[in-house]
Amino acid sequence: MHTLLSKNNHCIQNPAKITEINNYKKIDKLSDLYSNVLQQSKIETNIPPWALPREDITLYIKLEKTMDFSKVVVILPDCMELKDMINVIDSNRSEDNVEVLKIWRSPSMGTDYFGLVIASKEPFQELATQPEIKIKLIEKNGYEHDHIAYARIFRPLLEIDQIPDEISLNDIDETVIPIHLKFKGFGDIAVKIEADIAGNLVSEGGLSVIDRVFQGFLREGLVDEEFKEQTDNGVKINKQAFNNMMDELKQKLKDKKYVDELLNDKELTQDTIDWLKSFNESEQEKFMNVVHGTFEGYLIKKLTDLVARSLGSNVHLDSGTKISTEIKTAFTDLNLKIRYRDLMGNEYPPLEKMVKIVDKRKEDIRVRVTIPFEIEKVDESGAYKNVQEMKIGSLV
Amino acid sequence: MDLSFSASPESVLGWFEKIQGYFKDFRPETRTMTINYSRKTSTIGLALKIDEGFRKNHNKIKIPVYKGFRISRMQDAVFHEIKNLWFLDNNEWVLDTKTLPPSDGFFIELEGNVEDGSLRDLVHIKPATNRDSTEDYDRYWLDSCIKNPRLLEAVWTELQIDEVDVGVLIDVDKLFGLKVPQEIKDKTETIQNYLKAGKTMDRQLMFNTAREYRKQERESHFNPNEFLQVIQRLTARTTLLDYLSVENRYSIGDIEHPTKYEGIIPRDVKVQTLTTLTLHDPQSIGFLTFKRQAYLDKIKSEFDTVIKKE
Repeated sequence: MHTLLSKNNHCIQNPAKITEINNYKKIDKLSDLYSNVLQQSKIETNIPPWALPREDITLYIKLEKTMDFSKVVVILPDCMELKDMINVIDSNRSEDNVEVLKIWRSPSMGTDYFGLVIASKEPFQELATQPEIKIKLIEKNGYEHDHIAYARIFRPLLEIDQIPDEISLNDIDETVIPIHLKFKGFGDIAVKIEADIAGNLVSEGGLSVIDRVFQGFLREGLVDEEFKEQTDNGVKINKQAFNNMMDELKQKLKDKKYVDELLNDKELTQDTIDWLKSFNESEQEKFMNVVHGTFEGYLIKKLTDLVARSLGSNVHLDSGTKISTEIKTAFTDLNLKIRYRDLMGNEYPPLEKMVKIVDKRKEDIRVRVTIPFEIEKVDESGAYKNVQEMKIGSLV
Repeated sequence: MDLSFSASPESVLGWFEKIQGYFKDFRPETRTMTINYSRKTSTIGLALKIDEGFRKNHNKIKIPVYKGFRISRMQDAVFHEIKNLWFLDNNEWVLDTKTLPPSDGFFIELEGNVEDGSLRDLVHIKPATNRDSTEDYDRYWLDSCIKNPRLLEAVWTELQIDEVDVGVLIDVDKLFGLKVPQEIKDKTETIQNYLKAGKTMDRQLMFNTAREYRKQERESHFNPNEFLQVIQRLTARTTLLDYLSVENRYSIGDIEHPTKYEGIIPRDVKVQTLTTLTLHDPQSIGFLTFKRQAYLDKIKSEFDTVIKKE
């Protein structure tokens, strides 16, 4: 068997091999990078210059119009799988290779082509990798042509830069958990912070009470276009519609079934549940007054949320803004877990850190405390820029 | 082992073939089809031969109305439009051959809708899930092609799929988030505190936060509506077009705000990047480029204007 067609067991090349395979043409134009033409021009491949783990990658193989082939053998590395084929009429497939026997070709077509939609099976350890896809074209006249295409796959990596081992509660200052993170690699990520004490989840956040209320309205169909009026001066609240809506909400909250349903809503924070439980007539009036008087505040809040959630150009906070728990002992172990996923929904191993909460309070000793997470800094200096032109061999 | 992943294009072509079947007696010579991907419509053109012999044998031509297809145009051999000859009778399009002007050849055009599933079977579309960025811009890979040219070519001598939309989602709220000025951040905090106090029964706390809120109101007459107006303007198509570019086979269509509730501040915008696929050029690959840094500068300068006015 030809060496090129030997099975490609390893998806991650060793460093030596990576530099070796990088002897492909110097990049003069962008298009050179994603179109790789063999000198003989019998075969030309086209593949996206970057992809996330598990993302569909379309590998196009274009053939010279006058050339007759008996088959095109494509060998996928173990880490990749075939998901679909484009313009293939007849083919054989075994576990690791695809033999394309016939494609549709015709004089009216500008190019003779077929496509394989492939994807990596799992995220890689490496932040950048380029598994080899080996292609062998066997002409009817017996000539063979070898070609390699690279599936260039990039992933994000989040690391803890700094989180204190210990924080203390005192009588004067508000206690926060300062978090410094490091972002490396490629891809936009959504971060979720979880915390538990002895296995009980104590982290909360994401949506504030007022957000929940508005979302509830939305779900119930109480908020619609009449609620917001687009005017030349921006968005205005329609007060009549708002009052009607609040009246309806009051009615709904008298319905025990509805309230029970809300209380069982897993997305609601403890904060909201407490508030809903205490939602009596006077509370409602008061809340309405606040909301009504500061609808503009709500709009501004949307702006703050943005600020709070945009942690950097690649990192976005999904949920987890604080912990809310009972602190009964002088020393409490808090287990922090920072989860993150990329835009393909790939979840990466979470970051974990134990923070000791030391209770030094003497005067104001409330059992229930709220400690916000404060993501003070995300160092993005290790973020990959312009991966399209990045030589993967040089990254090792 | 044969591998057949793709949904059967036969189902897509079923109605094309059906239409063609109705016309087979007329020996159609050219068959063209144009599909508008974005509008989900399809136009079929057939060149028919209706000579004297045919007219003697057929008084009427009847075509069942199939899946909402309608006959949109008919021309004679010298391209004169022939109007009002077809009429609907009992779910059939009917043409009285006696009413046809003297001509051997006719061109007939039919129009109808195409279902989403059929479109997906016809065209492969794959935009990049994640942007690639440089200091100045974000780039998105665009990829589309005709999935099964064989079946299309078997039926149609000419085929065109217009406005194939390789939609790209651009996260804009993050960009706004990065540029919200400090003054706004301070103010939102005050309002947050005020709202929080509103939930408690603590009269003193409510009083204090309300006082703080009023104090800030006096200091900066910041108008959130004005601010939101700026955001709306910045996410409007006309503004965004200045920051978006595509390569030659692509063009930019609509820019939508799919997350409508967040319409106050759209979470993302969906940019239609359109291309045309034909049997001759069945594949379209390119980039959408978004000048991120320039757009961030624009956000900042617009936000600053709102603040300075006060």
